[in-house]
Amino acid sequence: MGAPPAVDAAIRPDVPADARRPSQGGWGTIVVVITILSVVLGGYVVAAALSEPAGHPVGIPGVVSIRPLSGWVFAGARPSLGGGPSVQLTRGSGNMLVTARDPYRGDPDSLARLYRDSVLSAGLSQLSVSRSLETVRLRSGLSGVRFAYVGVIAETGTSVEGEVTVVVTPSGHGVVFNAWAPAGLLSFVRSDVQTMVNEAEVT
Amino acid sequence: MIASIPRRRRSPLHDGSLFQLRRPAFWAYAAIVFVTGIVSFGQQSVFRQISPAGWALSWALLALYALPVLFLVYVLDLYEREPLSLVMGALVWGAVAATTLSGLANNGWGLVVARVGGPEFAARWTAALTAPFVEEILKGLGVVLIYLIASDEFDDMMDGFVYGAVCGLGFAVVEDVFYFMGVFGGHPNGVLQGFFVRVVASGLYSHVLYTGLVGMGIGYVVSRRQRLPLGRRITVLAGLSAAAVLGHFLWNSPLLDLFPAQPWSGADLLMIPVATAVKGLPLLAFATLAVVLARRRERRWLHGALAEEIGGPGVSAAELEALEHPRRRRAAVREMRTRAGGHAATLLRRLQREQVNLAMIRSKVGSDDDPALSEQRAYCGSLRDALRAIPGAAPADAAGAVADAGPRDR
Repeated sequence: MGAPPAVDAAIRPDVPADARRPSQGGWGTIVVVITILSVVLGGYVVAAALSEPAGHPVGIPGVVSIRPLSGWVFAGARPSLGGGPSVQLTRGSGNMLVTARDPYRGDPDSLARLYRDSVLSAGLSQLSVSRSLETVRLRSGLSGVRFAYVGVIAETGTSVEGEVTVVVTPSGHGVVFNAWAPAGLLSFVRSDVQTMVNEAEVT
Repeated sequence: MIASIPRRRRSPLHDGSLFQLRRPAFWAYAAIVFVTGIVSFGQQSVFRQISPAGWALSWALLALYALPVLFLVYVLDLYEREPLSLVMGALVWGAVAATTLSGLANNGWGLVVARVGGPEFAARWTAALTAPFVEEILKGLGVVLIYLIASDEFDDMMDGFVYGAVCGLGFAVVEDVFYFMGVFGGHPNGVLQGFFVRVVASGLYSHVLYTGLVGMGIGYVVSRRQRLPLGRRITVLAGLSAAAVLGHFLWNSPLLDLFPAQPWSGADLLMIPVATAVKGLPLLAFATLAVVLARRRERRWLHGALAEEIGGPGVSAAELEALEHPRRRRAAVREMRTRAGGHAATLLRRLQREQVNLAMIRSKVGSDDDPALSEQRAYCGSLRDALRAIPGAAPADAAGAVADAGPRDR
């Protein structure tokens, strides 16, 4: 006996002939691919849209100016890093301290090592920093370096993780952006911090 | 005289294979799996370099979990086993594409949660507010792609459940490797601890359930196109997907969190299964109920489709009685093997499969004398003739003597 004919050969009187056979699914495939792209990329698009600066710029006059993103507030100015001026921004338990060293004749690498040895080592116990320096480039075109660290605040015993970005301005100022948060929370402010650092105006 | 055995043939009902080169969905599937596979391979290579022993142990332990689950899910579909290439396609989508895409997407939507809620809120709620939505969508879209590749294979909700659950299994395995290596330290002791927490204590409640439910909804939507209005089908899909997302949300959220704080002592280890059960059992109960109802529905459908065929060449009353109950089907095959040998048992299994196909054809065609239906009846009859021609295979009682009056021309 021969094999039965394909079911497609059967015609239902109440169903149009072309309804018997499913389409090749071209439109369905397009919809699926668009949906995948929307789900995968949508978060980044929305986050970028929400990352608009809010409030007045803060910074160190003549050196660096930062536009805080919404939720970030100015938390004071104080001298730091060899007496240079600093400003601090906070959002919840996330912090960013911006420090200027004026004048600075070295390169970002040496300033990063100086900051690690003179500031982080003094304030944190069990300090551990990333093995290599990552090169970064701000929107202004200025190049710098970045490293991560973990440690314990000596005064409070709080475990923290942080990320330091260092640039040296054309006018000879060293600028250090030190962002930190309690262990496990840095990842939730890192995007904000990197956006603010990237958008910082340096002179 | 021994009747000639009808040649094995592919069912005219089914696409049968993942490799449908003329379907755009296949190429979309292949392209996405290829690209994400490169990322996934790179990640596994990193894990292997970090801790070769831990990585190998992770995969070995997860194979012990995944293989039985894969088998159980595969045989849950009472009447028709899904083509292996499609089942493997769903598994690979879950393991490779869905995990990689979810990693990217969760990160992106996590930024939104952090931006809106701040770091403390994000630390507590990001996993609950991103992963359930992102991952269920991306795994579910894999099931949709499988449907677009081989649409004829989705005959019922249970088909969707099988593809969804297998997709979820693939996802769970790769995610577990990530956790064993990235969260539990990657060394063999950490891997064993991770295996206890994520598989022994939690293995019943994970992605297999979530995506099984989503797949069930997809199966419902696509297999009832000509019988139910779109609104009702979408409502069922939305309900099942919402149950999956809600279960996943509860699992990832800080709500009802009875997990003991680390480091764990002996008593804590006893508490972990309790903590996971509190979060996971409700959804497990819901999914079990859904599967039981779907299987009953399948049984009713089979009976309804074949009841009017009794007395014809396609199926006898005794055969339908056995066909409706998987245990009786298997018992009949075993009994045939004892009575007439392995060849007869194989032929009986083919007859049973073609009788299920007869039911499917009957439910798809409009008229009782549809040529495809007649051909399938005749094909079943020829299989039965060939079976009876084998010494010892013919039933002793008259009940099995189907269509004893001979083929009826319907």
